[in-house]
Amino acid sequence: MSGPVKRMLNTMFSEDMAKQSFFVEMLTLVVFALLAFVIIWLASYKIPITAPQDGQRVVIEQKNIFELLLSKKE
Amino acid sequence: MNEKPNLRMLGAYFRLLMPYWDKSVLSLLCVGICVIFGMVSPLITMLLIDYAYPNQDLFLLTFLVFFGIVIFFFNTFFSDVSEYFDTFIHQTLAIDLRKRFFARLLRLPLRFHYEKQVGDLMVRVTDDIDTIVDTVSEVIPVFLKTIFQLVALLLICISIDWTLTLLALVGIPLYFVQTGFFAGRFAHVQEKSQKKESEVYTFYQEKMSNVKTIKSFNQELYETDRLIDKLKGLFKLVRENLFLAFFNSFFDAMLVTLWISFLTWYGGYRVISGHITIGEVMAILTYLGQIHQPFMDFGAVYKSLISSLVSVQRVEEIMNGHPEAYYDTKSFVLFQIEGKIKFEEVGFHYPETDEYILKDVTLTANPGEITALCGASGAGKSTIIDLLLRFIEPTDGKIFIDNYDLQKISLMTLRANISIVSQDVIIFSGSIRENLQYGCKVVDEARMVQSAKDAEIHEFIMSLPDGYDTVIGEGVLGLSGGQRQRLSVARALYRNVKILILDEATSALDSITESKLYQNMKERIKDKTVLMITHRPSTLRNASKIYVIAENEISESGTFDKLLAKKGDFYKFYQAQLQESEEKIEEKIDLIKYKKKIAREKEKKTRAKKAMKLSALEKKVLKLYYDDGETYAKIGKELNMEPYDISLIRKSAKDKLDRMKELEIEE
Ligand SMILES: Nc1ncnc2c1ncn2[C@@H]1O[C@H](COP(=O)(O)OP(=O)(O)OP(=O)(O)O)[C@@H](O)[C@H]1O
Ligand SMILES: [Mg+2]
Repeated sequence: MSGPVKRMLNTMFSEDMAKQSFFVEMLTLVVFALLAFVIIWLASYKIPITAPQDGQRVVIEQKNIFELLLSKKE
Repeated sequence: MNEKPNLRMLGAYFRLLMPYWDKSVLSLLCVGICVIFGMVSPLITMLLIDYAYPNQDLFLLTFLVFFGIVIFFFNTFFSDVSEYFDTFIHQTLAIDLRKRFFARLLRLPLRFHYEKQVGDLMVRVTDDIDTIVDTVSEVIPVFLKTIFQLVALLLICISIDWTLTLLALVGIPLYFVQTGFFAGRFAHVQEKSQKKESEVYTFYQEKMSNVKTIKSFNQELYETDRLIDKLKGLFKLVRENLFLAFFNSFFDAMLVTLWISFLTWYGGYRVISGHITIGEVMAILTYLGQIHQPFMDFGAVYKSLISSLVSVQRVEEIMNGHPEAYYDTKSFVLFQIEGKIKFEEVGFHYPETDEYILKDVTLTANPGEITALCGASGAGKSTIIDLLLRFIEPTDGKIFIDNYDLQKISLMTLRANISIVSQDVIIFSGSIRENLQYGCKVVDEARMVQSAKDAEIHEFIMSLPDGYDTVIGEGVLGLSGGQRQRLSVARALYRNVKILILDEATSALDSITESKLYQNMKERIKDKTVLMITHRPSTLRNASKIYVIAENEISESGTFDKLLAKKGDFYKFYQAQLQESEEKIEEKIDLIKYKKKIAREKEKKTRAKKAMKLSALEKKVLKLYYDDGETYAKIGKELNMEPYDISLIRKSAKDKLDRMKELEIEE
């Protein structure tokens, strides 16, 4: 196993509670950042919603996922 | 002290969470994310039903599924992380609280410990603290999570269909009434069972530490029956609790079912009448189905909060007890002392009675001398020692060390200057070395060995397999009463302090060992103040001054010869003891004769055992059976015997072999 991975595993299963919890805290913060990126991307991506009309598919709406989730269908 | 438990008392425990605020915040953030993400999936279903399926939109379907996976991933991660932090806080808090409690408990005056039962304290240090930790670490997160969940659910429900939502809220007050009704009853049962449990623990503790007595009185069955009686009481309470829990969960479930059925009907009506879409009614019913969860969680936490108040009160009783004044800053600190002890008209009675155990005791013990106390059993000799160590406080009069009032001396330095061998010797489990160095930070090997030599225990220790590192104590190596006493004397000598107290420290020793021990000690205690309690005339001769205690008072004092010449109380006491010791000598002679007899018989036996040998037949059977793995039938055929006889021979030969191995006899 390579150095950094081994070190990471070591801290993860470290006997020292403080060390371990610090590791988990850091990991959580990293995943928070990742989540933020994912949300930003999702917010900027407009999903084309299509429906069949006269044998062809036409885009009836373009909304990002959050708008879509909270929208009310008339 | 018996203040009614209230939330303010519990509040103090919440402050213990402060050091973990960063982890708490992170954990709450994670919980918040989980709550939000947990609400997404009904909305996805709604989109599928309202958009993707009717429009045959394959792209949207694919997108939504991937979106669901991403949400699921984050949701799982954050809920695990928050669990991790909660466990972390829970564990560290438990350790922290146990530490505080135990430290406090040991600081409380002996008086307190005499009054309390060990089992009761055990329950407090385990169960009660667990309950508090559970509640304290749980209440805030669950409370916040509940509120958060509720607000989110309501917002989303209202945005979908507010009439349906408002109707759904009608059920909530009912739920509160129900919870309040049961919480009080649970707390009541909890209090009773905690008390019962304490009783049971105390019972176990006492019986288990005195198995010898129980056995010698043949009371095993009787004690078991008594345990059953106690357990029955506890069991009854457990059933009561179960019964309550049963009703509680039944009503909970009943309420929820009726509520949801009604909402299902009304939601369906709204769709049929064209107010909302199919996707929306699916989503809102899922949400409203979840809306009781926060209330249930809240109810559970509230119940545990109320019943934990009982535990809080029990723990507070210890935490609020007045500890001994260890760190009183106004007191004198004793460093280099001469070691002169003076009692001035000291009187003492236990607070609960008016009957004086000691009256008008005036005595002095000078450095470099051995001062002895003697008197009948129960006269109050050990009480004098307790007073000197300030385990108890004198009712009247004053005690001085080097002309410092004992009351004004810092308790810690007082006890640091006194070494005591008490009447009931306590040896802790651990190595002999640990026991000898108990309470001493300085490790001095030479001094330890010297102390052991002076206490006449060195040779015994060296005869043990690991010498000073031999582990003694419960379940390991047992020591005889005399060995314990000598070890305890060695421990006291090792501390090398000015005042040495020997409360019948050598009562279990034979007179030869005892006189040797005192001979050794004389060297060691040249400049020390020795206060000695003893019944033995031979030991009393070593004392420079003797105080005789009779009928709660000091009746006589003086040197050994003077007291004898007086022909007073001491003379009588001395005569009685002397007679007893003469009887003892006769007894001893008998004992020695008896021992010799036993030794002779034993030697005979071992010689007989040495002659033990396996016959050729036995050897053959053993070989065939064990080495060649033959059955009895086959061996029987070979040797022309019945298989049953072979089995008998095999068994007896094996037993013989084992015994020989035990005795280390060559085959
Ligand atoms: N915790 C206690 N509460 C009430 N009374 C006590 C307590 N401990 C001891 N006593 C009483 O105090 C009296 C003196 O006890 P103490 O232990 O001083 O006797 P002693 O002279 O050391 O006797 P012995 O030679 O048997 O050791 C006894 O009558 C005993 O009943
Ligand atoms: Mg005593």
